[in-house]
Amino acid sequence: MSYSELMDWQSVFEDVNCVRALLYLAKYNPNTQTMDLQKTLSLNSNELDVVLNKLINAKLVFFKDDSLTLKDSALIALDNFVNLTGLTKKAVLA
Amino acid sequence: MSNIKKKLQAEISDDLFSEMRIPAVSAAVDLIKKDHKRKINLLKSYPGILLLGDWYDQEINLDFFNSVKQKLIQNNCNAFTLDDIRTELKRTKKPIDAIEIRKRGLDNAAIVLLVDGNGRGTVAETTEICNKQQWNNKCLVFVAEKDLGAGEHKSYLKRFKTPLIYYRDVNDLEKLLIRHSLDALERWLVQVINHDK
Repeated sequence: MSYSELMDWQSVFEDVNCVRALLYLAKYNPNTQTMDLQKTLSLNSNELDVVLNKLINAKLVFFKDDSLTLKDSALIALDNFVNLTGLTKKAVLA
Repeated sequence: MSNIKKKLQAEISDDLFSEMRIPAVSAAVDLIKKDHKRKINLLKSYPGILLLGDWYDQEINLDFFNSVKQKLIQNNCNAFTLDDIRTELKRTKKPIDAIEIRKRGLDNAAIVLLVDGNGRGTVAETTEICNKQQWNNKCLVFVAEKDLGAGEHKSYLKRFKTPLIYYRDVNDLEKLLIRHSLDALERWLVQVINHDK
């Protein structure tokens, strides 16, 4: 992975809306409509654009006909994120 | 992969997407940011990779080594050549001795990436490295594929402890040097993090 790719990934995993989007896509993949994502996460158009740009730049998703599918690399990265932060456990306990 | 997908689908509850859960996601992101900062700080203490080899080849010259070094530094991987040590010593106005420069580089480096060449000093230099176990152990040697089966005049290569790494051309060599450097850095980082735990 090149340095710029690493930076693209970092900008995704350091952005709360991107992480929420990844969680949603992991739950409802493949071919998740961007409109469903926007509605469920209550994102405005600008926020959605930022999320989509970051995910696409980091090559974590396939984007076709207004729908998103997570790549395998994104699933692995998200799994690492969840394991490292215990995010899903906190959500259950809270 | 389907196992990871199933696991995540089971773990991620629908309520995690609600606005009320944003603080939980935000806290997780903050943890990642902290972890990243810690790793970047740790990387600053990496002893570095010594890029060693003949500089007099038409393609594999000092410019080539400097270009690989820059790419590694851009990837937060400290790297240096003997020329850097020479420059540093010049600055401190200490007497400059080629043997001392090489010794300092070999002692200080976490690993040494040695590109085999055909220069006059190659045999003497590699013999010196092979004779010292501590240097030999941390040396990865890159040899041109055209030198495969080069015969007796390359017999010194047999004395290295790690398996030789063969490259096709200068582009292949660059990729291999970067990959092996980053792999070594990652191993070092894991070791340091585990040691800190």
